[in-house]
Parts: sequence; structure tokens; C-alpha cells
Amino acid sequence: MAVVAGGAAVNEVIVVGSGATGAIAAQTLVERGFDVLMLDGGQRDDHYRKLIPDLDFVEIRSRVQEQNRFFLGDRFEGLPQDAVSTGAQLTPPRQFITAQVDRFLPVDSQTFSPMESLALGGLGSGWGLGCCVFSDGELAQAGLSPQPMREAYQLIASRIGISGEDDDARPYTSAHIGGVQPPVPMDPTAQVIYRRYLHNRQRLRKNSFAVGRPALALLTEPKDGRGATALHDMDFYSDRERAAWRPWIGVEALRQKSNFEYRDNLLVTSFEENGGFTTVRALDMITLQHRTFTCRKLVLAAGALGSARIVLRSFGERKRLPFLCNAYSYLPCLVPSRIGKQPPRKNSGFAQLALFYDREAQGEGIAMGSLYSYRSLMLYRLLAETPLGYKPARQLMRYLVPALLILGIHHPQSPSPGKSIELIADPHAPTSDRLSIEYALTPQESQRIARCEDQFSRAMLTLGAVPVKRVHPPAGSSIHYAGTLPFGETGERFTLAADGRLNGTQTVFVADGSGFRYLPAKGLTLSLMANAHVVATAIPRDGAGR
Amino acid sequence: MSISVEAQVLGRYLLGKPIDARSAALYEQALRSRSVVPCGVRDQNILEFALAHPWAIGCLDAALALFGPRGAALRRKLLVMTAVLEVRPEYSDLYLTQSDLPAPLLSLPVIVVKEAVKAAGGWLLLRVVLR
Repeated sequence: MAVVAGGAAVNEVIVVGSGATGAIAAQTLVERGFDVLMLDGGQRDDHYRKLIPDLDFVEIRSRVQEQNRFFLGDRFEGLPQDAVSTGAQLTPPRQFITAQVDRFLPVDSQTFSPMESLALGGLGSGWGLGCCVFSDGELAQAGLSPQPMREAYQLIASRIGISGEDDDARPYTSAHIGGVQPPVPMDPTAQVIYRRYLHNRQRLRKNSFAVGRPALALLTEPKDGRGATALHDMDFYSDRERAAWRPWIGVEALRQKSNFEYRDNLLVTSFEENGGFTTVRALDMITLQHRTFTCRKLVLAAGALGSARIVLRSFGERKRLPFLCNAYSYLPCLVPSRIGKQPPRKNSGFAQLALFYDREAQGEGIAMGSLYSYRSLMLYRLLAETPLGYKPARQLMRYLVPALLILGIHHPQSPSPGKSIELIADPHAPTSDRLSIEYALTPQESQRIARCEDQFSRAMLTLGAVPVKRVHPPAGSSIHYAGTLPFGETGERFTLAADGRLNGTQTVFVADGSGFRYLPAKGLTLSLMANAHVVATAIPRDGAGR
Repeated sequence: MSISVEAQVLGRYLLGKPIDARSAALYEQALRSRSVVPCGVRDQNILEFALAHPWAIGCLDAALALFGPRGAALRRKLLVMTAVLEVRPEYSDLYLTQSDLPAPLLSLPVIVVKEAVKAAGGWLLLRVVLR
């Protein structure tokens, strides 16, 4: 670390954020020999992790007296205040993911409910582990170059460990990726669906559907000191084996390196370039005092919304930025042949099957469905959604839950005028501002989404599952955000150059999804990490920037 | 009515038998952490009637679930008790499907029909309570 005049330390690179993109960018930079300082919110769970025994879900439920502490929470924070939207509530051990967000990342919106994070590992700490590769067409639309991204996909997969299957879903999930571990066993209800797919494969393929196992960042064989999944069906509460890759695992490994330093409880607010150095301003989340750090290169990996906030403050310009978020809906479905059947003891809470509705050749993009079984998120969350008294609802759900599959559908998204963000003044906020978000689908988008959902419903019927209803949670529920600083060739401020450099700066790079000009429906995280690696690989070592 | 008595009333409705002291204590803790306050006089009246007349809870629960209003205090308290009982090992067999359940084609329609009858009765009862 160098020293400037006045004695301030100059860091070679500062990386902002410890989520999936920050962790990967930092690792790439550290491996390239850069000295890296990571500034991060760093919220974590030091409480519930220790309480959860190394037993499977059924055994815990049957034997452990203190299970209320982590299933409901010590402050009963796991109980919904109002009616529950299934899957929307974080379990108590995971609520650290959104700790302090209301205070430090305030949002103003009537039409959008984002989920952001100041946690160690960011939103990656709650990632569903689904891994997908974008097609060349999708990469080009997003503003990404296929060749380096393909290489990056392989490298990231080798770093984090991926399991999956070589089936009809593979072209969308782990195409061209080697070293994929075997998939987790499928639960019996998903097996019914998959057998029906194989029986009706020709018809479904003709209707643009491909079904198969998802690729998951979940180990089924030990790797690099991490264990294989124990299939305890406690995935939303704990992971003793560290079988699920989480960004904090990457950050923890980096902290053993001499050229990496991590500092938490810091919210980076802005930067300023000054003659070859960049001053980074951060708010201490405990004392609320501002602190400054100096670096030669700055890498923003605070997420599309977080990085946009930093850039808007830094450029000092009131401007509305574009914004992308995959529309999301879910269909609870029942598989009649599984009603009243005993679920397997060993199971995974992650997606059992992936469905791809491929209309790319027709110019409509590829929509993605993920099928989940339901058990470990507790019955009471479901009971509140039924039009029945709680006592008979419980009796009914014991029959229905083994037959229940939840199909979550993501839709691709392009920019449009109704989707934008802006920073507005808020003297009460610690940062003196809040993010105003407008989000509205065009009529054409809404119609396309409705048609697509109709197709998924028909496909589920063909697969032997009866959709019960369509649920449209609030906009923002996909937790896939991008496009606030889109890649652009004009060099305009608030856009990114092809190598991730923030136009209008010499030393600032953006490694998260802010640059994506188009947001495919497929699971985003693997592509975010691949892009982060590509950006970090391209950062020059010279002291004067580009 | 004290919360511990309220816990017994709601627990007995949900389980069909008295609940243990630990479950009642957890319910009390839950309400202290996440208080359930009736939304207005009508909601208060429904809650008080239900707690004073435990025989009516099933009908009122059914009617409120089907006809609303959504967010009724009685329903919210029942949700809290349902969640508390679900995390008690003593009652886990009432929530988990630990073996194949018998005769779903018979059992499910019976549950639904009984519930529909209760909902109709509860709807009439609500008219009386809120008169």
C-alpha cells in the first residue's frame, strides 16, 4: 500500500460490496497480485447459526425443544404481521440479509418493492443457487461479449462448484461448462413431473418447452474443504457443510491472503477522482461519521441500485437512470398422484426442476420456470393463504403439501420509459437522500407475460400438475436488478465502457449488473459473477488508469 | 381474559385437546413481541365473542377465512397459535406427513364440506355478533 502526501494510505484497489460480484471481482484481483481493500456493510448472523443442530428437518421438528428459536425467531420475527406471501419472508436466521437496509438504503416507491442488502455476502447469502448461462444472443443484447463470458463461466464454475445434469435443460444452465458434479436426488413429486415430461417430450419441445434439472451452486461431492450437501432440507436455515456456495465463503478465504483487507460497517456513499487517485467516502454505520479512503482503482459491486446511488451522488447530477427487473410470478400446483404421500426424509429446498420456454427465435426471449417442493418453510405460512379455518386447513395441508410444487416464473426484460430510478433529497436519511423508483410494464409486456404464464399453466397440466392459482407478488420480488448504468458506446456519463469502466472517469469500474442493457429471465447470478471476473481481469495495473 | 387462558381456548380449538404449559408460555411471549390489536370496534367484538364462546371459534374462523374481513384479530391470533404449536415437538405429528395418509379421496371432500357448513354457520353468527 502506497502513501500519498500528507500520510494518507493509498490502496491499490478498493472493492465496494461483498456480494457475488464483489467477492468474485476481489478474488480475481487478489489472484492477479493487486492489493485489495473491500469496504462493506458486513451485517451477519452471529446468533442463530449456533443454535441450529446438525439434524434433518424431520428430526428437528420431532425432537428439538428449542426449535422455536430459529423457526420463529427469538423475537418471533418469523411470524408474519399480515397475510403471508409465500416465499417472500426470510427465515429468522436469514433476516440479517436485509438488516439496516430500511435505515441506510431508503426507497420511495408506490410501484416497486426492492430487496437490497448490507450483509456480508449481500443478496448472495439468500441466493437460490440456480446457475444459468446466457445464450450468445442474450449476451449481445445485454452488452456482453460472448467469448470472454464463456471462459468466465467455466472459471467461476470451477471456483464455486456446480452440480447438475446433462439433459434438455443443460443448454440453458451449464452448457460448455466442464466438471459439473452429479445433481442432487429429485424428490418423488418432481420425479412424477419429469417422467411425464419424458413421456410427452416431443409435444412439449414442439411447444418450445425444455425441462430438466437446474444447475445449482450446491456441492454433491466435497470440494476445496467444503462438504457435500447433507440433504437435511434445512437449506433456508443453515448449511454446516458449506455445500451451498455463498459469497461470504469467498470473502472468508480472501481474508487469509496478505494482499486482501476487509472492513465492515461501512456504507460507501461517493467517490471523487483527483489527479490519479480516487477518494472514496464512506459512512460509518455505527458512529454515522464519514470516513475517507484513497485508491488508485475503484470497483463498484454494490448491486445495480447500490452502485447507481454512489454514481449519482458522485457525479452530482440530478438524473433519472433506466432500470431493469425481471417480472416474476408463481403458480402453486398440485400433483394429484402425490396427495397424502409421505415426502422423502432427505431432500433439498432448492429448485427440483427447471423449465425453459424458449421463444428466442420468435423475438420473445426465453422465460424460465423453477419448480420447488414445499416443506421446510413451515406450514403456517401456507395456512394463512387458504380460505379455510386454521384447524381444517392444517388437516387438509398434511395431505396436500407432499403434492405441492411451486412454479416460480421469471420473464425477460428490456428497458422502457416506465422503469427508472432517481435520487431525491431526504434530510432525515443518514445519506441525506433516498432512491425514488418508478416501475411500470408496458401494455405489450403485460400481454406477453400473461400469454407466457398461460403457456406455463398448460405445460404444467401436460406434466401432471394442476395449477391452483396465479400469484403476482409486488414488483421487485424477483430480486433480479440491472441496467442502471448501461453499457454504451457514446462515452456518456452514467454509462459503462465495454470493459466496465464508468464513462466520465478514469479509475472507476463497475463489476455488478448495472451495465446489462437487457435482462434475460434465466438465473442471473452466474452471469453476474462471470462479468465481474471479466471486468476485474481487464483492470489495468498502471497507476494512471486507462 | 388473561393471555394464558386465551392460549388454552385457542389451542384447544386448534388441537382438539388442552395444550401444554410451554406452548401457552410461547404464545404469550409471541404476543408480547408481535402484539395483535383489533382493527376497530367490530373486530374487537368478534374477538371477544369468540373467546367467551369457544364453541363458536370454528364457525367464526371458517367464515372469516372465506368472507373476510382479511386481517381479523381472531384470525391473526389463531395464526400465531398455529405457528407456536407447529414448532412444538409434542405436536409435530399433526403437522408433518410422516407416512402415507389414508383415503385422501374420502378425507379431503369431507374436510371441505364440513368447513363449508361451518362457514355458513359462522356467517350467520357474524350477523348476530355485529348487530
